[in-house]
Amino acid sequence: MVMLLLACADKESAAPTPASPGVIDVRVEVPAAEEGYFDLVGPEYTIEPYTEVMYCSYITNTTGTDLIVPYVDGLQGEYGHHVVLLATDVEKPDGTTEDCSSATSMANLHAYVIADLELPAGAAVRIPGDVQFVMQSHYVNTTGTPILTRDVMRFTVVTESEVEQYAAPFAATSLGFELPPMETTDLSFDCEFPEDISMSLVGPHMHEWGTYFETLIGPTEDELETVLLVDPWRTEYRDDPPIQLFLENPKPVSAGSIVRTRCVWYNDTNEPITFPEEMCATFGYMVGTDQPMDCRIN
Amino acid sequence: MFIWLLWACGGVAKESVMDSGPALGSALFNFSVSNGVRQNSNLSDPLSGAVYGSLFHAEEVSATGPLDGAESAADVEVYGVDLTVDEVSVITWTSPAIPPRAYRFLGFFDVDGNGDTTRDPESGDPVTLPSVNEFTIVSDTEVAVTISFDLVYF
Repeated sequence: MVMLLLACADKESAAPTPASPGVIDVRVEVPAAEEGYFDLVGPEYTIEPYTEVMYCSYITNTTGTDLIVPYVDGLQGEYGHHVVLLATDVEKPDGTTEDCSSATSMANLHAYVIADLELPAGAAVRIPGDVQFVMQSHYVNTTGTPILTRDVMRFTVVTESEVEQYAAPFAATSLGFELPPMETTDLSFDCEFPEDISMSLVGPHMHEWGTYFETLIGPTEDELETVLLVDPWRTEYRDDPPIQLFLENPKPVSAGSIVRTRCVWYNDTNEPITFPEEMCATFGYMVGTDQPMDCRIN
Repeated sequence: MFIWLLWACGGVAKESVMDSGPALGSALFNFSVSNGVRQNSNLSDPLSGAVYGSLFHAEEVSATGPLDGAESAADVEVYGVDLTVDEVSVITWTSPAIPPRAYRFLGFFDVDGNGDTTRDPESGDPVTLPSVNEFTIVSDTEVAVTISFDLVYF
């Protein structure tokens, strides 16, 4: 194990000030530094009542070295939906925090590691030392009161010699859909794996208007095989998706293979729904590569 | 977010029913599988066999399964569950009398028939997800619950 301790975006987080009156404090307590862990502490961010927001915090990587990470614990307060570590093509000043709810704001951001998901024994993600961290937090404040948030990502870190194989996340996401009011919409889109890999995990992502989800993978369109089928889709899966694990027998996928994502929704409102209010994505982990795959279809 | 131990064997300690709290209640289970399980190509065997699992206090179940130290309120073993044709099982299971509160059921449908040797799911067995199968026991009431197996373990 290596000794990597605390890196803070918010230098005041070690001695937090009380939340203002009339604000619900859902900040995560900053854990004490521990050998074998690297803690990334997000900023304090207030979310207004009845508001859904994704905010992104740009945090300069001061470690100067690659992080070798077999597991990440994403710590969020109540009303948290997800926290994820992204990398950016366009660096911003350290400490920059901004709303990144829109599809366009995600254009330069790519996932490097997904919190709370297991990898096969001996596998780890490599996070390059020269990328700026972007910590993305998604909250849905369902209350009539502002909430004060602060998330923490706790990375388990190991040395290169402890790694048997590298892993990297993949995501196949549709951004350009629109769900007409009071109608069922059935959307399929394809992405390609650029290299030979094995899949250790496949997961779905939709929101509350989803009714059906399917991921198929195969070397050609005629050879697609269902690897994840969720029917019916339940509202609970928005936050706790049904993950298909292949930890003991990662599923081989050859370069050029297709991953087809199929989402079906019923929009029971009188307004059209678009990203990010609804989403359609397959995500997961690949082993045998340290290069993330991020396929977005507009 | 996210999972994902789909099933974890819980502790064996049972809910204490000796203290003088509110009147106890019970649950009547039957069982079903999602369409996603029924149509799943990874299903190893026909949808028939035993169900094994446990009830936990709902707040002691996270997205990854029971929290460390969580104790089962009751263990479930039901034989002869047949969903090859029926949408919902004819076979039922009635819980012992337990305190009124919210519970979650975690378990698996042992369609490959080796639950006597291992009480963990194997590849091809339908399993529950931690985020579903929550129900609330009410005093002096038998609460009907349809347990759903929503994913095929791999």
